[in-house]
Amino acid sequence: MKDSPYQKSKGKRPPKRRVVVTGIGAITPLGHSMDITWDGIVNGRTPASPIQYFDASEFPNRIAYQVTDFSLSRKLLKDGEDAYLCECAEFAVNAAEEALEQSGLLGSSRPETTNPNRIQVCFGMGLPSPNIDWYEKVFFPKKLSLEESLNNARILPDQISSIIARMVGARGGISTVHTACASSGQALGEAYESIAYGDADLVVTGGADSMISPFYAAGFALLGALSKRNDDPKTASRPFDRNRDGFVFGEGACVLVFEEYDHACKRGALILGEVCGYGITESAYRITDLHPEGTGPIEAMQMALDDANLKPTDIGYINAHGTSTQLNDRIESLAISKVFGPFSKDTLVSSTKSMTGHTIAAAGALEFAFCLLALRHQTLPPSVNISSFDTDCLITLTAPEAQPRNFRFALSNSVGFGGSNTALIAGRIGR
Amino acid sequence: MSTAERVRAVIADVLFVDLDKAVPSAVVMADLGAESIDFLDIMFRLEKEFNIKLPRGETEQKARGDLTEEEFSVGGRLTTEGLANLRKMMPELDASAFKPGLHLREIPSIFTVETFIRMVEQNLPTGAQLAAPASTEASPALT
Amino acid sequence: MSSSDIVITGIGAVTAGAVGRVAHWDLLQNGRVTTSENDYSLKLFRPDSHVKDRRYLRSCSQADGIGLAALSGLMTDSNFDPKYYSPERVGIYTGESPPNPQDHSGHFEALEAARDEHGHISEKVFGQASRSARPVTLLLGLSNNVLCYGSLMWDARGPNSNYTSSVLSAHLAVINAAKRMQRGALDLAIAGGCSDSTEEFRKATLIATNIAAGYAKGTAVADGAAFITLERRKAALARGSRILASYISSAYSCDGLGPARFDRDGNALYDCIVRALSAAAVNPAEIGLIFSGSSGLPDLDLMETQVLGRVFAGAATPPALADTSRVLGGLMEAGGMLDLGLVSEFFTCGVVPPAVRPHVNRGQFSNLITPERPFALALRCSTSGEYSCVIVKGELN
Repeated sequence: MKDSPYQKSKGKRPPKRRVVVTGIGAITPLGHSMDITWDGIVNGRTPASPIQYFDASEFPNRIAYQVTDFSLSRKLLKDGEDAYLCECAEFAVNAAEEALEQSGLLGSSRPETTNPNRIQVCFGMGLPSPNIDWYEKVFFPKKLSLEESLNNARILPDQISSIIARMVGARGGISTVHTACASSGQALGEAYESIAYGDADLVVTGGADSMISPFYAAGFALLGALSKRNDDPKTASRPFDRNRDGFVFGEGACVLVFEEYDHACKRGALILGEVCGYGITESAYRITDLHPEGTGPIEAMQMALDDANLKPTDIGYINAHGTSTQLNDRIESLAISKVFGPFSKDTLVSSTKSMTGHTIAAAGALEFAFCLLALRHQTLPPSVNISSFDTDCLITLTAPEAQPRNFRFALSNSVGFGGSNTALIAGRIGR
Repeated sequence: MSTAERVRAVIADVLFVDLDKAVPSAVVMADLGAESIDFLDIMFRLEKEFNIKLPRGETEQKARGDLTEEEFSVGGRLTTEGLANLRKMMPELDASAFKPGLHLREIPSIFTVETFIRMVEQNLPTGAQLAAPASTEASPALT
Repeated sequence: MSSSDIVITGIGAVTAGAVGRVAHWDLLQNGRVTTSENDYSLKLFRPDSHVKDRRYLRSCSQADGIGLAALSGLMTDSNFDPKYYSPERVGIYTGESPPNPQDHSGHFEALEAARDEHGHISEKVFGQASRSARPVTLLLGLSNNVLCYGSLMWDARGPNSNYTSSVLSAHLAVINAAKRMQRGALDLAIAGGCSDSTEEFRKATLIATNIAAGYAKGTAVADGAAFITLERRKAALARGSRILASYISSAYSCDGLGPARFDRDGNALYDCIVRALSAAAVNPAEIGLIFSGSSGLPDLDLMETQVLGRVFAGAATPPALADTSRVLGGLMEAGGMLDLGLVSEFFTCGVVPPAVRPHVNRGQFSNLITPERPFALALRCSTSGEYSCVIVKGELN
């Protein structure tokens, strides 16, 4: 095992403050709130179906986990702000509202002592994913008038971050991050470090994405990354199963409120869990292929453990990136086995992508939220859609049904296209 | 240009290597640095270059032949019979390429430039196929 | 903490007017004649003649190629030698612009095939036709290609990030990279950004969100990429590296008013500057040069001037002010890096080159740069009320 980078640093590690989570909101294919989504996880629901957003009948891959019956909440939106929202940004608006309400930071329940200059936003945002009629307007005719361009062109990735900052009254700064599937893992990690090292007391963080559109359906199909199990959508996303054949699109948003521990205690906030450690590496190996020895994810997990001052055996559960591709699941589990030991019984593993699909930029945030809730409820998410476990994956899966477990720490992995790898450790905290 | 020369030129172009490195015996992954998206790109470019369709996974299909699932591979690894069949399908490769225990997913890793040359030749419309191995001879240009 | 422990050891930059550190200083000194918006475009730039391993370009968009060309130049300018670093202690921080429709060009053929005579595109036909597109089409449209390929180029396996935060992106890259280094997790950081703002659709997006509204007043959006290397001073000296400047401190803030809105009283910008000065333990009187944010939006530029007036109200003589966007154009996600990399040239020169003096009457600022006031303050201001400030110190020869 390689030394963690921090062990090589010559100076003392700077002191860290404790970071806790005081609000979570989500819009996912499982439901329109974090609680309903968690309920879906615990019950092992797999709401995949044929793609509804466009006529996918002639596409090689025709299924997805979709958010259904969604309507944008305008409660916290200002006039005209909806013009800046793409679909997944709308998900983020509702999720932010839920998170901020739970955190007690809205309106009259907001304490006077929260200094807006020490509130930040750090968000992981997906790529724009327009429908085919947008391409009609943009490409044909090739030369649009300025008016037409303006009508088609309102959306930039940092606008949702700007809206969330306004919702919470943040003046401490905004950053929007994009590293493909690791985007919100990174956003959460940077939010955590901002508070831990004293740059902020409160950061609204999270991620949003929806790539269920013709161009991305065609694009991922060409790379051979998507499951072809079109006639059985509910079992297509089957991480760590021997017969897995690719990922299934998901979509959604998850917003979390990170806060400095004393700050949260002083204002009597509900504390849902703790953010204990963060690891971030670049595989620097290939554009899409993972390193065959797991280099990249291994170091990210080690870095997170080191940051949290924990041993591998302290981690009771890992929410794997687990996309259901042959390559990712095999290599990621190899990486896990190298850090936690092969088939570890102390550290059980599952991927919740069997129940949400791959939510790309939102995955890091959503799956960290699952870790927090698993700890809060002392319940392990189930490993569903396993008809034949791939024993080349050197891990011990959680049971096919949700099981109670006594454990204090959980880890969430994100392994991004382009090589960014994040690992985030959640801790149980009673309040 | 012969078929072989055209295939070599495509591979060299996709992988950004000099043409004289893309010799028929060069192992595309180990020697020329290809990764999985390069394989996709090579197949795409060869189809465009020769205006043909190259069936995916053809080598493995042909190697399976009449063998049953278990006769061909166990736990993803080729059996002795499976390996022997594969070797028959890929006469351009040295015996050392067919290591015992070779996994199905490792099959692309043994591909050489010659493997692609043969693949193209076998999928050209009948009449345009070359009889002799293309690697060392300058074959007459075909319309 | 005031610290000149972190230094800038190189800059790589590609803009429509120049390539590389020396050429860019020449450009700023001499100005350049531009007759049309095309003068800021890098559409015809050939990255493959700048990037050593051209394989990296095979699934890259033009903007990504420009970024990799700048990173290649940086490798040379910083005299990068891998033997001095462990890969896990080298990290890349980028700012990248969102993809534009051109990045999906691999699907154009299928789109054409799927159009009927009324111009309506059939999703069914597209689904079939798109199966013949080039397999790597999707990869061209990824927003973190420069981070990815840059990591391969430098074998940078350490902490990293990629910001899609519009004009602040490159500054955020530097700010976060520097923090990592200060915490002991990096020995070498590569930070900066790249942008292809002149592309038609992208420009429309910027105008739609107010950023390029100042376009008519003489600010043009520009394509480009610029990256700097950050290292610890001791290590840089030990390997005989050139030191371009010291990184001192930084801060960022926002008005929190939502997209395309900013506070005309400038409180968040003022707070940002004050925090950076405080973190640097530097007095306004010690600032010799300001690199303005100059968003191009007239009201925002006016506010910026007024805030600077507040900050420097107590100074006996005003600092100098340079607006490099006058020559370089508005570099968006790539903006702000050339200011940091060339700061020492400004101090050595002693006077703000005429081409980069601000065009609005900023009579409150000087054109003289004196070494007795050795610090420089670089700003970025976004029309959505987001601000960043980096304080550096020139290395005088």
